Amino acid sequence: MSEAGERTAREMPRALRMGLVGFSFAAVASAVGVWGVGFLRTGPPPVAAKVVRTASGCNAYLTIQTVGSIGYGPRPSWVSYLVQNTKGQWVHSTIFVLPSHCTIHMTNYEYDGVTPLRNNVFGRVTGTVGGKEYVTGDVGSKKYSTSTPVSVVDGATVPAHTFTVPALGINVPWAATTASNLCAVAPCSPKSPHDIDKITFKTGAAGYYRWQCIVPCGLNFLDGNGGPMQTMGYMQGFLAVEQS
Amino acid sequence: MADAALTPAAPAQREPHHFARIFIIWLVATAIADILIWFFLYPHLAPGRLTSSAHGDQYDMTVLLMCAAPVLFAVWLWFGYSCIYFSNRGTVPEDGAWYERDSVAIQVSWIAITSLIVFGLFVFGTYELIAPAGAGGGEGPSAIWRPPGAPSSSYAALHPKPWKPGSHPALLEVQVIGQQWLWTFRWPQFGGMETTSLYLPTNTTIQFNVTSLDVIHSFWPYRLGVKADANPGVNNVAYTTTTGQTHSFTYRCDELCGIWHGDMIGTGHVVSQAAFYRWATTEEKKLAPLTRHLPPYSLTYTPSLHGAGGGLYPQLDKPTPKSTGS
Ligand SMILES: [Cu+2]
Ligand SMILES: [Cu+2]
Repeated sequence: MSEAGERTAREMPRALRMGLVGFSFAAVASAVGVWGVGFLRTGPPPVAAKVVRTASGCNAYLTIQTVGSIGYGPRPSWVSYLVQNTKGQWVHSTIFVLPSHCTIHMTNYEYDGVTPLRNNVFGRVTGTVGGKEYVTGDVGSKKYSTSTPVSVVDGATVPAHTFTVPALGINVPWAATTASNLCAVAPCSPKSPHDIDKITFKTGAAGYYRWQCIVPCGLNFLDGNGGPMQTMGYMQGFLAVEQS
Repeated sequence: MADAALTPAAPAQREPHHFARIFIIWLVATAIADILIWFFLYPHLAPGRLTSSAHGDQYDMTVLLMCAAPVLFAVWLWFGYSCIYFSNRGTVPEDGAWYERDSVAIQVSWIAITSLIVFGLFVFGTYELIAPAGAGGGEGPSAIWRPPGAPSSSYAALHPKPWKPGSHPALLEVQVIGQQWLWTFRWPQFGGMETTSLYLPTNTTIQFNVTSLDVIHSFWPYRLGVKADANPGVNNVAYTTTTGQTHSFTYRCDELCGIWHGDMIGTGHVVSQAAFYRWATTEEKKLAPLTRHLPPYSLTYTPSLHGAGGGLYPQLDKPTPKSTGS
Protein backbone atom coordinates (compact mmCIF):
# COMPACT_ATOMS: atom_id res chain seq x y z
CA MET A 1 0.00 0.00 0.00
CA SER A 2 1.18 3.50 -0.75
CA GLU A 3 1.78 6.04 2.00
CA ALA A 4 -1.14 8.11 0.82
CA GLY A 5 -3.40 5.11 0.84
CA GLU A 6 -2.41 4.24 4.39
CA ARG A 7 -3.23 7.76 5.60
CA THR A 8 -6.61 7.70 3.96
CA ALA A 9 -7.42 4.38 5.47
CA ARG A 10 -6.63 5.61 9.02
CA GLU A 11 -8.36 8.98 8.74
CA MET A 12 -11.86 9.30 10.13
CA PRO A 13 -14.45 10.88 7.95
CA ARG A 14 -14.76 14.58 8.64
CA ALA A 15 -18.39 14.30 9.75
CA LEU A 16 -17.46 11.73 12.37
CA ARG A 17 -14.63 13.91 13.66
CA MET A 18 -16.95 16.90 13.94
CA GLY A 19 -19.56 14.77 15.64
CA LEU A 20 -17.06 13.47 18.20
CA VAL A 21 -15.70 16.91 19.00
CA GLY A 22 -19.20 18.33 19.27
CA PHE A 23 -20.30 15.47 21.48
CA SER A 24 -17.31 15.88 23.83
CA PHE A 25 -17.97 19.58 24.20
CA ALA A 26 -21.65 18.98 24.88
CA ALA A 27 -20.83 16.28 27.42
CA VAL A 28 -18.40 18.50 29.34
CA ALA A 29 -20.73 21.50 29.17
CA SER A 30 -23.72 19.57 30.46
CA ALA A 31 -21.65 17.97 33.22
CA VAL A 32 -20.54 21.44 34.37
CA GLY A 33 -24.13 22.65 34.08
CA VAL A 34 -25.54 19.76 36.09
CA TRP A 35 -22.86 20.22 38.75
CA GLY A 36 -23.49 24.00 38.86
CA VAL A 37 -27.27 23.67 39.15
CA GLY A 38 -26.78 20.97 41.77
CA PHE A 39 -24.40 23.22 43.71
CA LEU A 40 -26.82 26.14 43.60
CA ARG A 41 -29.67 23.90 44.71
CA THR A 42 -27.79 22.44 47.66
CA GLY A 43 -28.69 24.35 50.72
CA PRO A 44 -30.61 24.03 53.89
CA PRO A 45 -34.38 23.83 53.43
CA PRO A 46 -36.55 26.70 54.64
CA VAL A 47 -38.36 25.72 57.83
CA ALA A 48 -41.55 27.48 58.85
CA ALA A 49 -42.39 28.51 62.40
CA LYS A 50 -45.68 27.38 63.89
CA VAL A 51 -48.12 30.25 63.42
CA VAL A 52 -51.12 30.83 65.68
CA ARG A 53 -53.54 33.56 64.70
CA THR A 54 -56.12 34.80 67.16
CA ALA A 55 -58.30 37.85 67.38
CA SER A 56 -55.55 39.55 69.36
CA GLY A 57 -53.01 39.06 66.58
CA CYS A 58 -50.32 36.87 65.14
CA ASN A 59 -48.01 34.72 67.23
CA ALA A 60 -45.40 32.36 65.85
CA TYR A 61 -43.34 29.77 67.71
CA LEU A 62 -39.85 28.87 66.62
CA THR A 63 -37.78 26.28 68.45
CA ILE A 64 -34.12 25.81 67.68
CA GLN A 65 -31.12 24.09 69.20
CA THR A 66 -27.43 24.86 69.02
CA VAL A 67 -24.93 22.03 69.19
CA GLY A 68 -21.16 21.94 69.58
CA SER A 69 -20.88 19.42 66.75
CA ILE A 70 -23.54 18.28 64.35
CA GLY A 71 -22.20 14.72 64.51
CA TYR A 72 -23.30 13.57 61.05
CA GLY A 73 -23.23 14.61 57.39
CA PRO A 74 -20.24 15.91 55.45
CA ARG A 75 -18.95 18.07 58.35
CA PRO A 76 -19.66 16.10 61.53
CA SER A 77 -17.32 18.19 63.69
CA TRP A 78 -18.86 21.53 62.78
CA VAL A 79 -20.80 23.57 65.26
CA SER A 80 -24.37 24.11 64.12
CA TYR A 81 -27.91 25.32 64.53
CA LEU A 82 -30.96 23.07 64.04
CA VAL A 83 -34.62 24.00 63.89
CA GLN A 84 -37.82 22.15 64.68
CA ASN A 85 -40.44 21.96 61.92
CA THR A 86 -44.18 22.13 62.56
CA LYS A 87 -44.27 18.32 62.94
CA GLY A 88 -41.74 18.55 65.76
CA GLN A 89 -38.87 17.03 63.75
CA TRP A 90 -35.38 18.54 64.01
CA VAL A 91 -34.09 19.84 60.68
CA HIS A 92 -30.51 20.89 59.96
CA SER A 93 -31.28 24.37 58.69
CA THR A 94 -30.83 28.06 59.42
CA ILE A 95 -33.50 29.42 57.09
CA PHE A 96 -36.48 30.28 59.24
CA VAL A 97 -39.76 31.21 57.58
CA LEU A 98 -41.70 33.73 59.66
CA PRO A 99 -44.88 35.70 59.03
CA SER A 100 -44.59 39.48 58.70
CA HIS A 101 -45.94 41.78 61.44
CA CYS A 102 -46.05 38.95 63.92
CA THR A 103 -44.75 38.29 67.43
CA ILE A 104 -42.16 35.54 67.32
CA HIS A 105 -41.56 33.41 70.39
CA MET A 106 -38.18 31.82 69.92
CA THR A 107 -36.74 29.13 72.17
CA ASN A 108 -33.14 28.00 71.91
CA TYR A 109 -31.97 24.78 73.49
CA GLU A 110 -28.29 25.56 73.97
CA TYR A 111 -26.30 22.32 74.08
CA ASP A 112 -22.90 23.95 73.51
CA GLY A 113 -20.43 25.29 76.04
CA VAL A 114 -18.91 28.76 76.33
CA THR A 115 -16.97 30.37 73.49
CA PRO A 116 -15.97 33.95 74.31
CA LEU A 117 -17.18 36.83 72.23
CA ARG A 118 -14.50 38.66 70.31
CA ASN A 119 -16.31 41.91 70.95
CA ASN A 120 -18.17 42.18 74.24
CA VAL A 121 -20.52 44.74 72.74
CA PHE A 122 -22.53 41.74 71.56
CA GLY A 123 -23.01 40.65 75.15
CA ARG A 124 -26.01 42.97 75.25
CA VAL A 125 -29.47 41.73 74.25
CA THR A 126 -31.01 44.08 71.69
CA GLY A 127 -33.99 44.11 69.37
CA THR A 128 -36.12 41.77 71.50
CA VAL A 129 -39.27 42.70 73.39
CA GLY A 130 -38.06 44.46 76.53
CA GLY A 131 -34.43 44.10 75.45
CA LYS A 132 -34.20 40.84 77.37
CA GLU A 133 -33.75 37.10 76.99
CA TYR A 134 -35.07 34.62 79.52
CA VAL A 135 -32.61 32.00 80.62
CA THR A 136 -33.13 28.72 82.46
CA GLY A 137 -29.77 27.16 83.31
CA ASP A 138 -26.29 28.60 83.64
CA VAL A 139 -25.36 32.21 83.15
CA GLY A 140 -21.66 31.98 83.82
CA SER A 141 -21.35 30.81 87.42
CA LYS A 142 -24.96 31.68 88.22
CA LYS A 143 -27.59 28.96 87.94
CA TYR A 144 -31.18 29.82 87.21
CA SER A 145 -33.70 27.03 87.80
CA THR A 146 -36.54 29.18 86.51
CA SER A 147 -36.71 31.42 83.48
CA THR A 148 -34.81 34.59 84.44
CA PRO A 149 -34.55 37.81 82.43
CA VAL A 150 -31.05 38.78 81.32
CA SER A 151 -30.10 41.91 79.37
CA VAL A 152 -26.30 42.06 79.45
CA VAL A 153 -23.90 39.14 79.84
CA ASP A 154 -20.15 38.92 80.25
CA GLY A 155 -18.78 37.99 76.83
CA ALA A 156 -15.95 35.93 78.29
CA THR A 157 -17.89 33.51 80.44
CA VAL A 158 -21.51 33.34 79.29
CA PRO A 159 -22.25 33.04 75.56
CA ALA A 160 -22.12 29.91 73.46
CA HIS A 161 -23.37 31.55 70.28
CA THR A 162 -25.39 34.56 69.26
CA PHE A 163 -28.44 35.20 67.14
CA THR A 164 -27.59 38.47 65.40
CA VAL A 165 -29.80 40.03 62.73
CA PRO A 166 -28.07 43.31 61.78
CA ALA A 167 -30.89 44.74 59.68
CA LEU A 168 -33.43 44.24 62.48
CA GLY A 169 -31.10 45.36 65.27
CA ILE A 170 -31.46 41.97 66.97
CA ASN A 171 -28.57 40.56 68.98
CA VAL A 172 -28.97 37.78 71.51
CA PRO A 173 -26.03 36.07 73.20
CA TRP A 174 -27.30 32.56 73.95
CA ALA A 175 -26.20 31.64 77.47
CA ALA A 176 -24.17 28.42 77.48
CA THR A 177 -24.27 25.44 79.75
CA THR A 178 -21.14 25.15 81.86
CA ALA A 179 -21.37 21.34 82.06
CA SER A 180 -18.57 19.32 80.51
CA ASN A 181 -20.32 16.17 79.19
CA LEU A 182 -21.73 17.95 76.15
CA CYS A 183 -23.93 16.38 73.50
CA ALA A 184 -21.83 15.68 70.39
CA VAL A 185 -24.38 14.30 67.94
CA ALA A 186 -27.42 16.27 66.86
CA PRO A 187 -30.31 16.37 67.38
CA CYS A 188 -29.60 16.51 71.09
CA SER A 189 -32.24 15.61 73.64
CA PRO A 190 -32.92 17.53 76.85
CA LYS A 191 -31.21 14.67 78.70
CA SER A 192 -27.91 16.28 77.71
CA PRO A 193 -26.79 19.34 79.64
CA HIS A 194 -28.30 22.49 78.22
CA ASP A 195 -29.58 26.00 78.82
CA ILE A 196 -32.99 27.12 77.65
CA ASP A 197 -32.87 30.67 76.26
CA LYS A 198 -36.11 32.33 75.22
CA ILE A 199 -36.73 35.57 73.39
CA THR A 200 -39.69 37.36 71.89
CA PHE A 201 -39.33 39.72 68.97
CA LYS A 202 -41.57 41.30 66.38
CA THR A 203 -41.24 40.97 62.64
CA GLY A 204 -41.95 43.98 60.48
CA ALA A 205 -42.26 44.12 56.74
CA ALA A 206 -41.74 41.06 54.59
CA GLY A 207 -38.20 40.50 53.40
CA TYR A 208 -35.12 38.34 53.53
CA TYR A 209 -32.96 39.21 56.53
CA ARG A 210 -29.59 37.59 57.01
CA TRP A 211 -28.53 36.52 60.45
CA GLN A 212 -25.29 35.21 61.85
CA CYS A 213 -23.64 34.04 65.04
CA ILE A 214 -21.02 36.64 65.96
CA VAL A 215 -19.05 34.41 68.32
CA PRO A 216 -15.93 33.31 66.42
CA CYS A 217 -16.90 29.68 66.95
CA GLY A 218 -15.39 28.12 63.80
CA LEU A 219 -12.90 25.98 65.66
CA ASN A 220 -9.59 25.52 63.80
CA PHE A 221 -10.40 28.16 61.19
CA LEU A 222 -8.72 31.53 60.63
CA ASP A 223 -9.76 33.88 63.44
CA GLY A 224 -12.48 31.33 64.25
CA ASN A 225 -14.49 32.83 61.43
CA GLY A 226 -14.19 30.22 58.67
CA GLY A 227 -15.96 26.91 58.10
CA PRO A 228 -19.32 26.82 59.87
CA MET A 229 -19.21 30.61 60.29
CA GLN A 230 -19.28 31.08 56.52
CA THR A 231 -21.54 28.20 55.51
CA MET A 232 -25.29 28.41 55.19
CA GLY A 233 -27.01 25.99 57.54
CA TYR A 234 -24.42 26.13 60.33
CA MET A 235 -23.71 29.51 61.98
CA GLN A 236 -25.54 31.83 59.63
CA GLY A 237 -28.79 31.90 57.73
CA PHE A 238 -31.82 33.89 56.77
CA LEU A 239 -35.09 34.98 58.27
CA ALA A 240 -37.51 34.65 55.39
CA VAL A 241 -40.25 37.00 56.54
CA GLU A 242 -43.28 36.38 54.36
CA GLN A 243 -46.33 38.56 53.82
CA SER A 244 -49.13 37.47 56.12
CA MET B 1 7.46 69.50 -0.83
CA ALA B 2 5.84 69.50 2.57
CA ASP B 3 4.21 72.82 1.87
CA ALA B 4 2.76 71.61 -1.33
CA ALA B 5 1.42 68.54 0.40
CA LEU B 6 -0.18 70.56 3.20
CA THR B 7 -2.04 72.82 0.81
CA PRO B 8 -3.45 70.39 -1.62
CA ALA B 9 -6.92 71.84 -2.21
CA ALA B 10 -7.46 74.61 -4.72
CA PRO B 11 -3.96 76.07 -4.78
CA ALA B 12 -5.24 79.03 -6.72
CA GLN B 13 -7.33 80.24 -3.74
CA ARG B 14 -5.74 81.84 -0.69
CA GLU B 15 -5.41 79.18 2.00
CA PRO B 16 -7.29 80.12 5.23
CA HIS B 17 -5.31 80.21 8.48
CA HIS B 18 -6.35 76.79 9.80
CA PHE B 19 -4.50 76.98 13.08
CA ALA B 20 -5.99 80.34 14.02
CA ARG B 21 -9.46 79.05 13.20
CA ILE B 22 -9.06 75.90 15.26
CA PHE B 23 -7.54 77.87 18.13
CA ILE B 24 -10.39 80.37 18.28
CA ILE B 25 -13.10 77.69 18.13
CA TRP B 26 -11.23 75.72 20.80
CA LEU B 27 -10.83 78.74 23.05
CA VAL B 28 -14.51 79.63 22.92
CA ALA B 29 -15.71 76.03 23.40
CA THR B 30 -13.30 75.46 26.27
CA ALA B 31 -14.26 78.67 28.01
CA ILE B 32 -17.96 77.84 27.76
CA ALA B 33 -17.41 74.26 28.97
CA ASP B 34 -15.26 75.30 31.92
CA ILE B 35 -17.73 77.98 32.97
CA LEU B 36 -20.58 75.45 32.80
CA ILE B 37 -18.55 72.91 34.79
CA TRP B 38 -17.63 75.42 37.50
CA PHE B 39 -21.03 77.02 37.97
CA PHE B 40 -23.46 74.23 37.17
CA LEU B 41 -21.74 70.86 37.61
CA TYR B 42 -19.44 71.56 40.58
CA PRO B 43 -22.18 72.11 43.21
CA HIS B 44 -23.92 68.87 42.25
CA LEU B 45 -20.93 66.60 41.82
CA ALA B 46 -20.60 63.54 44.10
CA PRO B 47 -19.84 63.05 46.96
CA GLY B 48 -21.52 66.30 48.05
CA ARG B 49 -20.61 68.69 50.83
CA LEU B 50 -21.34 66.90 54.10
CA THR B 51 -17.72 67.27 55.21
CA SER B 52 -14.60 69.19 54.33
CA SER B 53 -13.05 66.14 52.70
CA ALA B 54 -16.19 65.40 50.67
CA HIS B 55 -16.16 69.02 49.51
CA GLY B 56 -12.45 68.61 48.80
CA ASP B 57 -13.15 65.58 46.61
CA GLN B 58 -15.77 67.59 44.78
CA TYR B 59 -13.35 70.47 44.21
CA ASP B 60 -10.57 68.18 42.98
CA MET B 61 -12.90 66.42 40.57
CA THR B 62 -14.03 69.79 39.24
CA VAL B 63 -10.48 71.03 38.70
CA LEU B 64 -9.55 67.79 36.93
CA LEU B 65 -12.64 68.05 34.72
CA MET B 66 -11.78 71.66 33.88
CA CYS B 67 -8.27 70.58 32.89
CA ALA B 68 -9.55 67.62 30.90
CA ALA B 69 -12.16 69.58 28.95
CA PRO B 70 -9.63 71.65 26.92
CA VAL B 71 -7.64 68.52 26.04
CA LEU B 72 -10.80 66.70 25.04
CA PHE B 73 -11.99 69.61 22.89
CA ALA B 74 -8.58 69.98 21.24
CA VAL B 75 -8.63 66.33 20.19
CA TRP B 76 -12.23 66.39 19.01
CA LEU B 77 -11.78 69.69 17.16
CA TRP B 78 -8.62 68.59 15.43
CA PHE B 79 -10.28 65.36 14.39
CA GLY B 80 -13.44 67.03 13.11
CA TYR B 81 -11.60 69.85 11.40
CA SER B 82 -9.27 67.43 9.67
CA CYS B 83 -12.17 65.35 8.41
CA ILE B 84 -13.72 68.45 6.88
CA TYR B 85 -10.74 70.38 5.54
CA PHE B 86 -7.83 67.99 5.19
CA SER B 87 -9.55 65.08 3.53
CA ASN B 88 -7.94 63.51 0.50
CA ARG B 89 -9.31 65.13 -2.62
CA GLY B 90 -7.19 63.09 -4.99
CA THR B 91 -4.24 65.44 -4.85
CA VAL B 92 -2.15 63.50 -2.35
CA PRO B 93 0.92 61.82 -3.80
CA GLU B 94 0.55 58.09 -4.23
CA ASP B 95 3.21 57.27 -1.65
CA GLY B 96 1.09 59.11 0.91
CA ALA B 97 4.04 60.85 2.55
CA TRP B 98 1.96 63.58 3.95
CA TYR B 99 3.14 64.75 7.29
CA GLU B 100 5.44 67.33 8.63
CA ARG B 101 8.93 66.03 9.36
CA ASP B 102 11.28 67.26 12.01
CA SER B 103 9.15 70.17 13.17
CA VAL B 104 11.03 71.47 16.18
CA ALA B 105 8.16 73.77 17.08
CA ILE B 106 5.66 70.90 17.25
CA GLN B 107 8.00 68.64 19.21
CA VAL B 108 8.89 71.31 21.73
CA SER B 109 5.37 72.48 22.24
CA TRP B 110 4.10 68.89 22.58
CA ILE B 111 6.64 68.06 25.26
CA ALA B 112 6.23 71.42 26.98
CA ILE B 113 2.43 71.35 27.09
CA THR B 114 2.11 67.74 28.30
CA SER B 115 4.88 68.25 30.88
CA LEU B 116 3.17 71.37 32.11
CA ILE B 117 -0.17 69.59 32.49
CA VAL B 118 1.33 66.58 34.26
CA PHE B 119 3.54 68.64 36.56
CA GLY B 120 0.68 71.01 37.30
CA LEU B 121 -1.54 68.11 38.29
CA PHE B 122 1.25 66.66 40.44
CA VAL B 123 1.65 69.92 42.35
CA PHE B 124 -2.11 70.39 42.64
CA GLY B 125 -2.66 66.80 43.79
CA THR B 126 0.12 66.91 46.36
CA TYR B 127 -1.06 70.24 47.72
CA GLU B 128 -4.64 69.02 47.95
CA LEU B 129 -3.56 65.88 49.74
CA ILE B 130 -1.59 67.74 52.38
CA ALA B 131 -2.91 71.26 52.78
CA PRO B 132 -6.50 70.58 53.86
CA ALA B 133 -4.98 68.40 56.65
CA GLY B 134 -6.81 65.21 55.96
CA ALA B 135 -8.06 64.30 52.55
CA GLY B 136 -10.32 61.75 54.23
CA GLY B 137 -8.05 58.84 53.49
CA GLY B 138 -6.66 56.61 56.21
CA GLU B 139 -3.33 58.25 56.94
CA GLY B 140 -1.93 55.57 59.21
CA PRO B 141 -1.44 55.48 62.95
CA SER B 142 0.50 58.76 63.19
CA ALA B 143 -0.52 61.14 60.49
CA ILE B 144 2.08 63.76 59.60
CA TRP B 145 -0.47 66.40 58.68
CA ARG B 146 -3.14 66.92 61.27
CA PRO B 147 -5.94 69.43 61.62
CA PRO B 148 -5.59 71.92 64.47
CA GLY B 149 -6.54 70.42 67.81
CA ALA B 150 -5.82 66.86 66.73
CA PRO B 151 -3.97 64.74 69.30
CA SER B 152 -0.29 64.55 68.42
CA SER B 153 0.48 61.28 70.21
CA SER B 154 -1.29 58.03 70.92
CA TYR B 155 -1.36 59.03 74.60
CA ALA B 156 -3.24 62.18 73.66
CA ALA B 157 -5.54 60.18 71.40
CA LEU B 158 -6.34 57.87 74.30
CA HIS B 159 -7.18 60.81 76.56
CA PRO B 160 -9.07 63.31 74.43
CA LYS B 161 -10.60 66.50 75.81
CA PRO B 162 -14.31 66.18 76.53
CA TRP B 163 -16.63 67.10 73.68
CA LYS B 164 -19.44 69.58 74.27
CA PRO B 165 -21.52 71.59 71.81
CA GLY B 166 -20.12 75.07 71.19
CA SER B 167 -18.99 77.35 68.42
CA HIS B 168 -15.62 75.61 68.32
CA PRO B 169 -16.12 72.25 69.96
CA ALA B 170 -13.16 70.02 70.66
CA LEU B 171 -12.19 67.46 68.07
CA LEU B 172 -14.43 64.39 68.22
CA GLU B 173 -12.77 60.99 68.26
CA VAL B 174 -14.74 58.10 66.82
CA GLN B 175 -13.25 54.66 66.86
CA VAL B 176 -14.50 52.52 64.01
CA ILE B 177 -14.21 48.78 64.65
CA GLY B 178 -14.67 46.29 61.83
CA GLN B 179 -15.41 42.66 62.48
CA GLN B 180 -16.95 39.88 60.41
CA TRP B 181 -19.54 41.25 59.50
CA LEU B 182 -20.56 44.36 61.33
CA TRP B 183 -19.25 47.82 62.17
CA THR B 184 -19.30 49.16 65.72
CA PHE B 185 -18.18 52.53 67.07
CA ARG B 186 -16.43 53.50 70.29
CA TRP B 187 -16.56 56.94 71.83
CA PRO B 188 -13.65 57.76 74.19
CA GLN B 189 -15.20 61.15 74.99
CA PHE B 190 -18.41 59.46 76.15
CA GLY B 191 -17.13 56.99 78.69
CA GLY B 192 -15.69 54.62 76.11
CA MET B 193 -19.15 53.39 75.17
CA GLU B 194 -19.55 51.26 72.06
CA THR B 195 -22.53 51.66 69.76
CA THR B 196 -23.86 49.94 66.69
CA SER B 197 -25.19 53.24 65.32
CA LEU B 198 -23.22 56.24 64.10
CA TYR B 199 -24.15 59.87 64.70
CA LEU B 200 -21.90 62.87 64.02
CA PRO B 201 -22.31 66.53 64.96
CA THR B 202 -22.23 69.38 62.43
CA ASN B 203 -19.26 71.79 62.21
CA THR B 204 -16.89 69.50 64.08
CA THR B 205 -13.53 68.05 63.19
CA ILE B 206 -13.75 64.28 63.44
CA GLN B 207 -10.89 61.88 63.98
CA PHE B 208 -11.85 58.40 62.84
CA ASN B 209 -9.65 55.78 64.50
CA VAL B 210 -10.23 52.78 62.26
CA THR B 211 -9.25 49.26 63.27
CA SER B 212 -10.36 45.64 62.92
CA LEU B 213 -10.81 42.69 65.25
CA ASP B 214 -10.21 40.00 62.65
CA VAL B 215 -9.45 40.33 58.93
CA ILE B 216 -8.92 43.48 56.86
CA HIS B 217 -12.01 45.59 56.31
CA SER B 218 -12.29 49.07 54.87
CA PHE B 219 -14.50 51.80 56.30
CA TRP B 220 -16.11 53.75 53.51
CA PRO B 221 -18.70 56.43 54.27
CA TYR B 222 -18.66 57.73 50.73
CA ARG B 223 -20.64 60.92 51.31
CA LEU B 224 -18.22 61.98 54.04
CA GLY B 225 -15.34 61.73 51.58
CA VAL B 226 -13.69 59.26 53.95
CA LYS B 227 -12.20 55.87 53.22
CA ALA B 228 -9.83 54.06 55.54
CA ASP B 229 -8.70 50.45 55.70
CA ALA B 230 -9.45 48.64 58.94
CA ASN B 231 -6.47 46.45 59.75
CA PRO B 232 -6.21 44.27 62.85
CA GLY B 233 -3.60 45.68 65.22
CA VAL B 234 -3.37 49.01 63.39
CA ASN B 235 -4.97 52.34 64.24
CA ASN B 236 -5.65 53.93 60.87
CA VAL B 237 -6.51 57.59 61.34
CA ALA B 238 -8.72 59.60 58.98
CA TYR B 239 -9.65 63.21 59.62
CA THR B 240 -12.57 65.16 58.27
CA THR B 241 -14.62 68.16 59.33
CA THR B 242 -18.37 68.19 59.06
CA THR B 243 -20.03 71.24 57.56
CA GLY B 244 -23.31 72.84 58.61
CA GLN B 245 -25.33 70.35 56.56
CA THR B 246 -27.35 67.66 58.30
CA HIS B 247 -28.01 64.50 56.35
CA SER B 248 -27.78 60.75 56.56
CA PHE B 249 -25.03 58.81 54.81
CA THR B 250 -24.24 55.21 54.05
CA TYR B 251 -21.13 53.47 55.28
CA ARG B 252 -20.00 50.16 53.92
CA CYS B 253 -17.06 47.79 53.87
CA ASP B 254 -14.83 48.14 50.83
CA GLU B 255 -12.47 45.25 51.38
CA LEU B 256 -13.66 41.76 50.46
CA CYS B 257 -13.75 40.21 53.92
CA GLY B 258 -15.82 37.06 53.78
CA ILE B 259 -19.27 35.83 52.94
CA TRP B 260 -21.22 38.80 54.35
CA HIS B 261 -18.82 41.49 53.18
CA GLY B 262 -21.62 42.90 51.02
CA ASP B 263 -23.86 43.24 54.05
CA MET B 264 -21.41 45.28 56.16
CA ILE B 265 -23.48 48.30 55.47
CA GLY B 266 -25.22 50.88 57.63
CA THR B 267 -26.68 54.35 57.75
CA GLY B 268 -25.03 57.15 59.72
CA HIS B 269 -26.39 60.60 60.44
CA VAL B 270 -24.89 64.06 60.62
CA VAL B 271 -27.10 65.95 63.08
CA SER B 272 -26.92 69.28 64.92
CA GLN B 273 -24.41 69.53 67.76
CA ALA B 274 -27.18 69.68 70.35
CA ALA B 275 -28.95 66.64 68.90
CA PHE B 276 -25.68 64.73 68.78
CA TYR B 277 -24.88 65.60 72.39
CA ARG B 278 -28.33 64.46 73.49
CA TRP B 279 -27.92 61.17 71.59
CA ALA B 280 -24.41 60.54 72.92
CA THR B 281 -25.18 61.27 76.57
CA THR B 282 -28.40 59.22 76.47
CA GLU B 283 -26.57 56.28 74.92
CA GLU B 284 -23.75 56.60 77.42
CA LYS B 285 -26.19 56.22 80.29
CA LYS B 286 -28.17 53.45 78.60
CA LEU B 287 -25.05 51.48 77.69
CA ALA B 288 -23.28 51.84 81.06
CA PRO B 289 -24.07 48.23 82.15
CA LEU B 290 -22.51 47.01 78.90
CA THR B 291 -19.55 49.39 78.89
CA ARG B 292 -18.14 47.88 82.07
CA HIS B 293 -17.83 44.54 80.24
CA LEU B 294 -15.79 46.14 77.45
CA PRO B 295 -12.01 46.24 77.56
CA PRO B 296 -10.56 49.68 78.38
CA TYR B 297 -10.58 51.99 75.39
CA SER B 298 -7.51 51.28 73.31
CA LEU B 299 -6.37 52.28 69.83
CA THR B 300 -6.07 48.63 68.79
CA TYR B 301 -7.19 45.35 70.29
CA THR B 302 -4.72 42.51 70.28
CA PRO B 303 -5.52 38.90 69.47
CA SER B 304 -4.97 36.29 72.13
CA LEU B 305 -5.04 32.53 72.06
CA HIS B 306 -8.15 32.33 74.16
CA GLY B 307 -11.30 30.94 72.59
CA ALA B 308 -11.91 29.01 69.41
CA GLY B 309 -10.32 31.40 66.98
CA GLY B 310 -8.86 33.75 69.55
CA GLY B 311 -11.08 35.94 71.63
CA LEU B 312 -9.26 39.13 70.81
CA TYR B 313 -8.85 40.68 74.24
CA PRO B 314 -5.84 39.51 76.27
CA GLN B 315 -7.65 40.14 79.53
CA LEU B 316 -9.99 37.33 78.53
CA ASP B 317 -7.16 34.85 78.87
CA LYS B 318 -7.96 34.57 82.54
CA PRO B 319 -11.73 34.39 82.73
CA THR B 320 -12.87 35.91 85.97
CA PRO B 321 -14.78 33.46 88.16
CA LYS B 322 -17.44 36.13 88.66
CA SER B 323 -19.82 36.24 85.74
CA THR B 324 -22.56 38.71 85.35
CA GLY B 325 -26.11 38.36 84.27
CA SER B 326 -28.34 41.28 84.99
CU1 LIG C 1 -21.53 30.38 66.78
CU1 LIG D 1 -15.56 43.93 55.83
